[in-house]
Amino acid sequence: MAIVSSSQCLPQPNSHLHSRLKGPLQRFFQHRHLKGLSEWGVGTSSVSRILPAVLASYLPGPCLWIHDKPQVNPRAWADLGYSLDQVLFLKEEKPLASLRTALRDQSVPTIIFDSRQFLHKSDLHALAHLSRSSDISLFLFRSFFLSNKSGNPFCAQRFNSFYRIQQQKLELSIVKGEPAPPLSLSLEELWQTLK
Amino acid sequence: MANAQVISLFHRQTESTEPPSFLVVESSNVSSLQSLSPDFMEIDAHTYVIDLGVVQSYWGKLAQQKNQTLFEYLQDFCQNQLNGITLGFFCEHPFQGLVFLNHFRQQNSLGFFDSQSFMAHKLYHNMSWEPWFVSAQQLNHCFEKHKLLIKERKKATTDLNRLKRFVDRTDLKNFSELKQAHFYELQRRFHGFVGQLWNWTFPKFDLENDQKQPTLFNHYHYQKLKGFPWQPYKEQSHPQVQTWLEYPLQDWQSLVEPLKVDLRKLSNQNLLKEPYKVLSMTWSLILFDLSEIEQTLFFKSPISFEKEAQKAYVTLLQQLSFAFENYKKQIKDQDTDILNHPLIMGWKLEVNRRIQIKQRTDSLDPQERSHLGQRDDIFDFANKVEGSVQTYKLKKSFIPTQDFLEQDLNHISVGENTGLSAKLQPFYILPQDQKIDDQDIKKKCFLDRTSSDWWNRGDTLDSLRDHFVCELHDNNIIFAYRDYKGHWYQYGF
Repeated sequence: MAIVSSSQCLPQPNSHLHSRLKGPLQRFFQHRHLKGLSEWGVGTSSVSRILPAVLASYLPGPCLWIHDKPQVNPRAWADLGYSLDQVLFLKEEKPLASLRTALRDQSVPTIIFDSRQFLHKSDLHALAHLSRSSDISLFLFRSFFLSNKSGNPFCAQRFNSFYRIQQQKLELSIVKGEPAPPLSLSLEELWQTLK
Repeated sequence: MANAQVISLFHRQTESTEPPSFLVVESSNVSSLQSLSPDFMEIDAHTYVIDLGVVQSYWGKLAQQKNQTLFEYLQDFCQNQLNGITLGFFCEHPFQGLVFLNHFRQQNSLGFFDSQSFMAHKLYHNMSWEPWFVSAQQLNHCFEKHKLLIKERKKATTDLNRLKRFVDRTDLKNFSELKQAHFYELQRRFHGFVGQLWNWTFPKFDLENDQKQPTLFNHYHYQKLKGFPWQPYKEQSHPQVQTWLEYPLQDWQSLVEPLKVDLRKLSNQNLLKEPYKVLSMTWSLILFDLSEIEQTLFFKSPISFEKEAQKAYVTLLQQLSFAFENYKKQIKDQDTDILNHPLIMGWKLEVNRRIQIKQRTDSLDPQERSHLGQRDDIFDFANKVEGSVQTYKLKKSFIPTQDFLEQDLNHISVGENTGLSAKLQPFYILPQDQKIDDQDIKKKCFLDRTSSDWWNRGDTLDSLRDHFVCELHDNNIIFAYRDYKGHWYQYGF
């Protein structure tokens, strides 16, 4: 029987992602993998969703955006560098069942789940298992900010993303995963990264 | 018999022309028509009108795969795949196609022709009255058979004869000489049926005239059938299965196995074997009081029962589970004083719309299917979820948050490339702007000033908007604008 070291079992950083990221984002994510389930505390505002959305745009293949909001504004995605013919939107009031179908179906490699639907621990367990076994990057957006007090054992990566309106800066901090100082990015720096 | 050929003289002039809405054909083979569309109407034993609109996006997808326009693809398909069809006409309205078809019948021509081509346009404007009258009589008999337009056709034969005499007396050689006559005028003189026929004679040309009107931002909604009573061809028997359960059931889990058995029975029926695919089916549940509740399942893209059998009917069962949820809601709303979910005694599964899809169109190289709108797994997924999977494309618009269009999953295109605007945009917008109190705003950051759609407003200053990202006292960050009166409105999250 071949002996496999524990480091070989860990998911490897996404080479596709890292080769395309630029500037501070590239430095922040150079040793991180985004395969499987990652949890993002983004609150209710669109602005705090910008950084994870930018990251997802660099992942390969089409992207499925599952949400429960009244209407999307596709211009926002186009402005972040998405090619709109590569983004599918699925709007449902309780979209968890559809998320499970999408994970089982494996028709898209990147899924963003942006819903206020309550998730049980068993749901999180199932999502983590399905996304890991199907090699899908699943970004789970939470409408609150994450804290270490209430942990999530099913996610290897947990982040908080928010916007400081006074300084006009986007900030990204790590709640779980390899520790690093928070990333702070002005809007100008972000647009430079996207060019 | 050799297949009919598309005559090159009748090729379309520009690619921007709208795809054809109908195909009028002379055919003796009904199953061959089903390979084009599930919706067609029988005019007489050898003449059929096929509605291409209902399957336009499907054919659009296949055309995209082959890098062809929809019309080119349909031409190619008709030429090589349709058996038993010798004469066909792509047209904007069934009556227009019928007139063309009868003209070519008289000439003993074979082939597929297009009403949008330059030659066809010329020909139509120089065509004699004879095919027009033949088509009118044909439609009269057809409507008589189906009991349609009864009031308008009260004296149809007499009115048509009167029109014939009028045409002879006035020496009008072809019907386009009367083109300027409004259909109301003909209706007043020759009554309803002739008026209707005249309305259908120049369907597209009216549209062109109307678009030339100098109206700013005129949205013309073109009604394709223009009151033409469409009577879909009914097959004598639809593939169906009826089941009476040995004991009544009421929850979904217990229904799954008997449903699988029925789906297997359905997929064994010859009418559902490849190349037939299913567009919609009904599931009539029979309750303990023998009342029936019908649920209709529409598939976002055609489903092959044979392929579904290999996948243990996952997609079909998923759709049936949504129908069952819907049935439960219906029962709840009915306010009955019996059980919450009445016992189900049996059901009938019936496929009511199917389409024949030849193998040729399915056997394209998977390498060519990298585009999102060309991937079968995406269509499979869309069939498995309750909500609709949407895609969008950008369009040029003066009005922010209205500069995009929803597009069909089957027909994805890139849209306008307007480049990165490097400004903050909300991911989600409200269906209607909501007034907010400026006292609620803690901090704000200016984004942009717009002055759009002034032409729609009585007060032109009303269109002036200063857009901001605002932080409210409850720490929520929203997108809002301030109008010139100083009122605040939230438009995005």
